Amino acid sequence: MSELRWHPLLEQWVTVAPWRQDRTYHPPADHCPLCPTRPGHLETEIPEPDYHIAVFENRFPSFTGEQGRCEVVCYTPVHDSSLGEQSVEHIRDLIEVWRDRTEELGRLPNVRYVYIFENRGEAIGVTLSHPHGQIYAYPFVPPVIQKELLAHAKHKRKTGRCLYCDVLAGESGGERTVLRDDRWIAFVPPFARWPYEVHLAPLRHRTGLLDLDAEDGESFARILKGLLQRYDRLFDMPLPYVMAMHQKAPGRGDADYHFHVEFYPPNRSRDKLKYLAGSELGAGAFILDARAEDTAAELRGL
Amino acid sequence: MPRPSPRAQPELARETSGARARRPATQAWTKRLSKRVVQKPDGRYLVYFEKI
Repeated sequence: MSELRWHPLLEQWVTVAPWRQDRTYHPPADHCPLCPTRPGHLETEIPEPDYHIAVFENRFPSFTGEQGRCEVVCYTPVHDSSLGEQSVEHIRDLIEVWRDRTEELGRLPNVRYVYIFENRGEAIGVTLSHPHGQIYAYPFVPPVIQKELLAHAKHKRKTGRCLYCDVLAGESGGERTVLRDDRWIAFVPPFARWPYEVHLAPLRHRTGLLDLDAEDGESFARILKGLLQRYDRLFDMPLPYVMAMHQKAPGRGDADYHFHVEFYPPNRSRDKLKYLAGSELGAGAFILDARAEDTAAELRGL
Repeated sequence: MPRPSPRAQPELARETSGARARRPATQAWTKRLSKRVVQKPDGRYLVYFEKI
């Protein structure tokens, strides 16, 4: 089991899991552990010769047993592919998988938060290139979510309204919109911290994946695919990113929280990355050299 | 230095089981996938999601 150490200055948990040092690192494509097992070849994490979508417990987990879970979500059996290259129907199926895992992991007795995310690209530190995401079921509410939950609660007390609904109301002019339909919007928030950061959010108040109805799901899949296609057209290359799903904590009365998905691509141009350095890491103060209105227009035009 | 429990986050109290049960179910979502869980030799689980 991991060791949780309390950071008294930041008032947050640090998880120490030394065995993760030995995790699989850039295996050759013909030894990919996330591909289906081909007849006559070594068995991968997925013994069957094909699959639609598969989920398994991470071999090098940060949380396991009574602490929580770490899962790997294999989006597709096709190695040279990506989330954005999947059909809208396939992405909608993936949303169903994310819903299932949110519900099942959220029921575990010590789990306080189910966090779905994807790290894409070597620039992000990805060690397996097969299209996949991850799910961490934490034994605590992670600090960014905790801060957002408290901000929502504070805003609700002060105004009676949902904080993120008010953020979305500020996007009605469309200046920072990348794409939208009648259910979902993709936009660069005015407070973006990364050059091409985008938020995806349901326009109606939804607290998490389990709140989505069928139409929400279809729209989410379309908008997600549309954004990822634009990302890959931006610099004519597979754009690295972190995808972070922020939803309410399981089994809690966070009805005022608004589900959204945040994307943080590290690139500020095709060959230049934004690094978290002195101001961001040491002081927690992001400095951004791009305006949300300009990056949104750029993405919208692709 | 006092070390709080990971569960000690008082401003956001856990919902009671009764409140949870009263939450309206999402009726409109139609499941398109079936689930098949298998145990790996090392004890970890693997879940196949397949088209119904």
